[in-house]
Amino acid sequence: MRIPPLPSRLELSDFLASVEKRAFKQALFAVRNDESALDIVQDAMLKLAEKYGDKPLEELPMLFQRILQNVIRDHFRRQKVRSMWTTLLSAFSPSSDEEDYDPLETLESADSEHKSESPQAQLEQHQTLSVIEREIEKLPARQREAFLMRYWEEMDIAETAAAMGCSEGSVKTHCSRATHTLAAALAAKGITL
Amino acid sequence: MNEQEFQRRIRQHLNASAWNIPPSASSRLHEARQKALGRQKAAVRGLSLAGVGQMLTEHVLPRGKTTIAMVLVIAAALGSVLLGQFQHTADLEEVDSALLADDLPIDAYLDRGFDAWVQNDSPE
Repeated sequence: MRIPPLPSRLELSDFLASVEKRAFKQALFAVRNDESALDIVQDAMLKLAEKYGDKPLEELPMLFQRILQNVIRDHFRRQKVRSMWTTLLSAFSPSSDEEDYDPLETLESADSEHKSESPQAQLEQHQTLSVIEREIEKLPARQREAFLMRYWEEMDIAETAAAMGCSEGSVKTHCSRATHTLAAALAAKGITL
Repeated sequence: MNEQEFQRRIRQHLNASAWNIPPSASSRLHEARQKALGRQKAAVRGLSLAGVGQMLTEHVLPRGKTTIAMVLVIAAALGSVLLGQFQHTADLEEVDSALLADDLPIDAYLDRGFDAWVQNDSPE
């Protein structure tokens, strides 16, 4: 029997580089704090490299998601004395009282496609994105995990169930509820994708 | 819009969002990645063992084939001699045991007259 090759340093580096930004956003949706989200992603990366650095490359996405979700849960256990839902320190959160403040105006756009759009289109897209992110933040944690793993990380149902430590049926239920909740919330705000 | 299309568009928005994270966050993520790569201990240990195996297979074994063959031939010859010696000792032990367990005294076998008596007395 042929043993699957171990991921080399370069392969592990490529894998981490391919998931780190999405992992940061996932953590940010959960904890709503840049520094905490960065710490969480760093912890998850270290644990993956230390404990599962010898696993085949194809197993890394599921393992990393499982570690990431566990680290997020650990963070909440440590921080449960605080009210996480009232802490808005994220770079994507308003720092002033202006209701129409767009947090993404402060960010540098790296997407050339967006640069060619009109300021009005960019503004609309940023506002839409801001609403989507807020609604994703509002989802129950398990629904958000399942939704992001299935439709953002593009993991299949079995992988998502393994990463979440639940049945495939639960994954389907979480995803369906999250999709309907998001669609209803966006429709209520008059947003069409 | 069906669910799949809705999910696809959400994914597009999220991807755009992920690429627009602050430069300071990108820098921290890069540092975290380098730190994690520095701790890929399990993989390094696995590679070192694989390296030993590879060195034995590729360098030591081909050069030592003749030596190994000679050692095996000598070991086989020595084994054969030792086995013969053990067999001879076992035969002697068997004879000694038979003599000692017999009712007839050993001196009887040295007496020429006893030998002649046995031959004359035996049935035809």
